[in-house]
Amino acid sequence: MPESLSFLQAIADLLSEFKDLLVLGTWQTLYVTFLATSIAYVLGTPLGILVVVTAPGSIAPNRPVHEVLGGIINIGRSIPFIILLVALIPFTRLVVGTSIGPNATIVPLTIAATPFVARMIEQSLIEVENGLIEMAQSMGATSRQIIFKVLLPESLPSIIRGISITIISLVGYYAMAGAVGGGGLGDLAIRYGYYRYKSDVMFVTIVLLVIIVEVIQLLGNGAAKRMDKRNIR
Amino acid sequence: MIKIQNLYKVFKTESGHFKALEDVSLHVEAEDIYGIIGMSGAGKSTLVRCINLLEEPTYGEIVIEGQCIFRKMRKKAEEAEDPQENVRLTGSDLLALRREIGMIFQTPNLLMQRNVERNIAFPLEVAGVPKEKIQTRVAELMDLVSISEKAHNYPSQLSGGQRQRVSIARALANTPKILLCDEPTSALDSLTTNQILDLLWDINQKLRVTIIMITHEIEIVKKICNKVAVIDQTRIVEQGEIGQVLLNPGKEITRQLLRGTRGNYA
Repeated sequence: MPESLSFLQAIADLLSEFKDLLVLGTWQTLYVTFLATSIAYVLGTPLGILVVVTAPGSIAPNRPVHEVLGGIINIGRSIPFIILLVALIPFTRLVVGTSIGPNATIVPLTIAATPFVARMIEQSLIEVENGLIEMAQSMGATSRQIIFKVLLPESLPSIIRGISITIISLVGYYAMAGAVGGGGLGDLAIRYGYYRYKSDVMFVTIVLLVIIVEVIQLLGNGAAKRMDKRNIR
Repeated sequence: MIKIQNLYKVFKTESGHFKALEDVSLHVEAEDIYGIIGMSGAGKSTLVRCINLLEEPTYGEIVIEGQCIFRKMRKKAEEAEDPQENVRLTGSDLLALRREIGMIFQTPNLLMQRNVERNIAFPLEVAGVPKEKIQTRVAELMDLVSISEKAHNYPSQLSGGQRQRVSIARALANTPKILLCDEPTSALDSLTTNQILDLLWDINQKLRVTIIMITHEIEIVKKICNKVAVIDQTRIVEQGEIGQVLLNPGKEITRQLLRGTRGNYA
């Protein structure tokens, strides 16, 4: 039997043997990262908006609020995820009832992602040209109207790109949570690939993670490009 | 219509105080097309932005249609012969004032994610006009600036002149009595500039809108303004009827601005 065929045969055997585990791991990875991203956006978007509008020279300048929020976000972003994961165990137990498994991992993931999301939103909103804000002010728009009718809609394509970046970062974070029994593809890679020296399982999980990341990136870029009216000629 | 008395604007910067306007007084009557001309950095933009309080003056008084929108005297109340209360519009009064004054800019500042129709609808939405009314009003406005056939196009699909026409329609949406124009043709070629000036002239004639036109080009003043103020380094140095100022320029700066349009030989 030629060598390449035997390699394919080995992969096929592996896939049939670990099929259920791989499907479950992929499903858990998607479920956890999407849910954590969604909750993080619910919490992080208002935070990001507040940071932008309270900046000096913006529509509702407020230095103390701006500085304090910026500080909190930076602290949140400085804590290594693996530390956060362990440190939050009591809190996670309180919320979910357990500290292991996919559902439990959503808690630290969301908390790690929220300051990240706030910065992503901030980055998107500050790209909106000052002239547009001034125009809206000259027409008597309230700060609220400027946020919802100018800042958010004008930066939507950029926000969408930020969402795909966030999901991809969380796929990576969640794989780390596999080390402490968080489930998902990372858990599989650690338990089978690392502890049991099954490097073929490790290889397949990595390929799956690469595919997930590629697809999310493609979908995000595609959606952002299609909805951006600046691209219409 | 608009009375500006002894207006001062001082910006506080890290390197100290920067004077943008000093002792500026201006009287614009209803239906004027009042040109404010000066070199770049003379303070003309700051002046026009004080009128809708995008910029808060440091001292002085601004009265629009009999309503004092800003007053803060340099002299302390006890020193003044005729002490008056300070006035500074805030909150809903300020928003209401701004909705009654249209403004257009050098760049059209269109919302890139909205089509022409919805860009013009923006100030109406902001003012809380009901949807059905917005539709008919937007149709009228598109007709006024002849952009109806582009109603569903996005700004990226329009030429510079078309974009500026949309911004003019938008500025007129809430039927303002005053239209502030901050160098609206500076980014346009001469043919398009003429079309935009014709449009502004028509609007002044048909809708009886008072126009304040900031510019650094004397040609624009000659073409559509009936009055002009020349501003030079924070101060108004000359003002009055257009013929009077241009035929007998009293100040060197006015002569310089006039020369600029005919080459340097005049």
